[in-house]
Amino acid sequence: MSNDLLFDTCTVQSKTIFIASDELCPSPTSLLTGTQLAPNKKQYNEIYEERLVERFRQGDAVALTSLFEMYVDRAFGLARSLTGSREDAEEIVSEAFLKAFRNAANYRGDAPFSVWLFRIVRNLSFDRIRQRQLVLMDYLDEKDADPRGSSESERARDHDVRTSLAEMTDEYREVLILCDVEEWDAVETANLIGKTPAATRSLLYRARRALRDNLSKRWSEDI
Amino acid sequence: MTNNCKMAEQLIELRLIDLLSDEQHSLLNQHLVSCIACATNLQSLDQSMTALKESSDHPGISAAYREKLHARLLDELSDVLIHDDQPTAHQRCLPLIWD
Repeated sequence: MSNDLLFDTCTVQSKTIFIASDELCPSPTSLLTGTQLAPNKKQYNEIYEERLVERFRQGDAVALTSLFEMYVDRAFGLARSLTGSREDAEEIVSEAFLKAFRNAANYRGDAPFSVWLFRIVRNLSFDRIRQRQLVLMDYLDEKDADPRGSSESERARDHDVRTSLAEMTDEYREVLILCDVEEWDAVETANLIGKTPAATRSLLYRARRALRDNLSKRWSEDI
Repeated sequence: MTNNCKMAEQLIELRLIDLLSDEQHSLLNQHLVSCIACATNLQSLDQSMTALKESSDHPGISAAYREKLHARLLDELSDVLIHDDQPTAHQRCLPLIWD
């Protein structure tokens, strides 16, 4: 069995098995020498991504599939949370992948593929929000049309949260969505929004307080 | 607000961004037991974060759309992809060794 075949099987069937793939991710000893520390999981993922992008540049469709599978859920979640619309998110993800792959095929930029991809998703989402006049109504309409069963109190809570989010600054809303809804860590979020991790954490804390203050006010009025 | 409350405020900030050490955690807990204002502050922050998380829960991308999008990418990027019957550059550069 060739290395290519091994690689194809592993990456298409599992998102995590690549960590152990010798062909794509050499062992720490073969990668590093001297006193350097062994790479952590995140560094392995970066190496793996770089190799996939290199193979995609060489015309490998399986590498495209692997990159797509690695990031499609997070890209969709980000677009869905930022725009509040499934339809918008689907269009944004489609456009973002095309742009990111075109970029990867034609340029050799400094930024990793995933950073490119998520920045495109973010920019397209903001463009879409700016195009729409009734962002809040879209949020509420879509949530009300949610086919999943939810109680009246849950719908009221969702309404309060979405109204509060819609009233926040873009900066606060974005960091809350990234960290608390999509569960990105501070470093990933910082890379995307162009701040340091420390500044991102501070921003997140202020955003959480602002959300709490807004919700507390609403909930105290309801009582 | 006492000095202890100011300290607790800073510790709550660290706790919310997962940077609280065990020692600081125990300090904060000691204060929260005796200070209703700070305990309420933390509780309301936790409640609002839970509400945000639960109200934002949404189904992920559908399998049908995922498949459709994947097919579209393969189609639209066909000019940069090599078809299955052609070797990739990676495969082409492998040395041929015969016994």
